[in-house]
Amino acid sequence: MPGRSHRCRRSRRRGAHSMHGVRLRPELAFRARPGSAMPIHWCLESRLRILLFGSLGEQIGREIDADLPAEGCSVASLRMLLAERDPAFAPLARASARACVDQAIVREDYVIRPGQEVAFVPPLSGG
Amino acid sequence: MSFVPGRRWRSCRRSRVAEVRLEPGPLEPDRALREFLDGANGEGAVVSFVGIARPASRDGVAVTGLYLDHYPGMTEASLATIAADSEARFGGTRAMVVHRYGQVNAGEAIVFVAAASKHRRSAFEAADYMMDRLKTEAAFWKREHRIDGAAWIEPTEQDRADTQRWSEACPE
Repeated sequence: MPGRSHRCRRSRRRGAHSMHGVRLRPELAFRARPGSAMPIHWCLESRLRILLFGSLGEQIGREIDADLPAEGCSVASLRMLLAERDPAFAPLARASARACVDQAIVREDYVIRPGQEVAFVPPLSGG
Repeated sequence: MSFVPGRRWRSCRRSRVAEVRLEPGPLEPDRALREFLDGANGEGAVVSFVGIARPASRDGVAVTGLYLDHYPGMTEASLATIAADSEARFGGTRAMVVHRYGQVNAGEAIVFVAAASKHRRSAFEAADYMMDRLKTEAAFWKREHRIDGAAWIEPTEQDRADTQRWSEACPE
């Protein structure tokens, strides 16, 4: 659900027990970031597979991975995260690359949760 | 399902599942039309449209073919939404969409659209409506293979304007 605040207890369980198809990387589970003031469950990350289509798939690759906090993150944050990680991902920060979650185009404030299918797509062009 | 957030299509009731299909190999429009006619349900008018890969780009450079990338699952859903919306918008219309994906050579059919209705006007309009929306809302991405290299094609301003004209209130 976009914009819905997440319950801590649930997200902690989700991370620890690999629920909803989310598989945690063992080395990331329960790892607190030094000096972090964030609650510990924010540091539980799951591996997010991102699909890319059209020109994005050709430029960057058909699939990339990202670590998603168990609390989830917005589409806008994910774009920034990716663009900072690798200059090759810069096209994903452009507004023309639309984000899809579970195969539907979503807004920038949509919060992606672990286990969801995420894709970035260039402008659609059928017919 | 809306594929473009913020765009307000008038919500329409969907009465039946429209016929949509993805074709990995050659699309045979005559066979698709035959199939559509066989499913006749007392309609008095059938309009069909076939989109064919052009042998030249917009700027006149020779093109050998296209590659149509698609998103399995989302692509079928986008076609089904467009066809079902057309059936609901033009009441009593029956619709069919067959779309190629993968490699398409110049001169081959890319898309087949058909609409059947009691009277011709709504059948013409339904086919036009589906094609306009397919251009900007079907989950495909086209790479044109020109003799001077490959290029991805995006919808033109005209394509967007063509789609936009249907966003006004649908007729009853």
